[in-house]
Amino acid sequence: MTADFEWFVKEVQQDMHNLALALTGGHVHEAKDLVQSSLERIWARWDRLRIEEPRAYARTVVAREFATVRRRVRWNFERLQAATPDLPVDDSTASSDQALVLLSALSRLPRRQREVVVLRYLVDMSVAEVASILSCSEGSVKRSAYDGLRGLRAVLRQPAEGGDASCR
Amino acid sequence: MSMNESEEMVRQLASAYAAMPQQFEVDADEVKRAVAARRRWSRRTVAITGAVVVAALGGVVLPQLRQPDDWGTRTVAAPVVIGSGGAFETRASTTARDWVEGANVVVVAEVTGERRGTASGTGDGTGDKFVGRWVILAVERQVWKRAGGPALTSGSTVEVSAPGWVARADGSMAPLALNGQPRLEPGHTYVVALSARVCRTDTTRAASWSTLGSGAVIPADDGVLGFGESEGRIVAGDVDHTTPGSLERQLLGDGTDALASALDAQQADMPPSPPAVTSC
Repeated sequence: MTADFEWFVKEVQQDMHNLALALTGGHVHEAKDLVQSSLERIWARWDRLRIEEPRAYARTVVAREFATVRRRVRWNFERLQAATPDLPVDDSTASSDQALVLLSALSRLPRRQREVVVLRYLVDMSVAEVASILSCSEGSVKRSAYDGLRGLRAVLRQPAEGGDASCR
Repeated sequence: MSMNESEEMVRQLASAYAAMPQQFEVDADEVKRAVAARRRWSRRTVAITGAVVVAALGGVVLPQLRQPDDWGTRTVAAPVVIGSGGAFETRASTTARDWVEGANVVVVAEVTGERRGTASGTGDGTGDKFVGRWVILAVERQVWKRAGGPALTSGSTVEVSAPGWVARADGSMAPLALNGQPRLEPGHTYVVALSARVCRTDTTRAASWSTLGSGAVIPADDGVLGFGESEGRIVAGDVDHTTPGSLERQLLGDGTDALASALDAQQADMPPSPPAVTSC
């Protein structure tokens, strides 16, 4: 069973990290903490788990952990939003530029819209799943999804301030 | 935004997301070590049934003791034992309404000293005892006062009872705190709702002071509500560490002026109840 967990970690770690990065708007350290606490949550009940789809399960745990942590530290977290996201800059390929632009744009969305856009469109959760994770109504999810997409579109259409986002 | 534009945007997002760097690795052993460390804490959880009479709270508190999780910086050397109290208090002290109904003054005060009080058995058959504690509050500022009642001026001091310690049968002592509540640690500042017993003959003079109840203290280091000591640890505006519906949660991160406004607004809606009287 122990070896299974190591396999599981290898299988899901990248998915979890990418989702954590997107949810935190590109805050690398918060994302790492989120992955770590999510995996701890999984390991704590590993013996009782029957996981059929590791990646989907891991994504759900990350999303729920994020929602829980956000509620716990809401006050601090919102104060920190003024800080520039510490976007990962250790990959200079064109594809990574695209990802950086996405993270940068996500970081400029209001928190709830970002959460909904990430869960609904990046990891393809249903409206009902997102509503359950974020403890809000399905109507609120739909509204935030629409506003979030519109906000992202506006952000992505703006010329980058101070040059190319990939240069940050 | 049209349907096509939305779909195009979603496609772009998915494509960018798929292009995110693939270079993250987690150490599974580190995850296991962290969980094992947390489990060691929970194995040390104690459940003590019985009653603690905390004089300052004016009521009986049934503690269900546990070791706290490991967040935050501890302000006392030993691990703090947490008791969930308040259910059997005779007077509520959580909301602005509770404070206006029951308190005579609300002050910003620093704890400047402490002394041991009397010991009483926990009643759980282990031989453990609850040891009381008295702390000295040095009043920095009176934030709110009930009209016509006794006051506390800046610079004055009052001694009130606070959660003390659990004295184990093996001779060790563990600091006790109430669940989600400050312990009243020397060197920290708090907002405290105090109720007075007043003389029958002179209701403007306090014969004695006590905290209003288990919800009557809010950490307030540097004058910011929700920041300071709670459960023996440093808290910094942690909403989950506050009681739902409480005055503390309502004003988390605000200054003491906001507290005064909230109490004034509450008072405008209700008549104050008379303070307890005693013969002097």
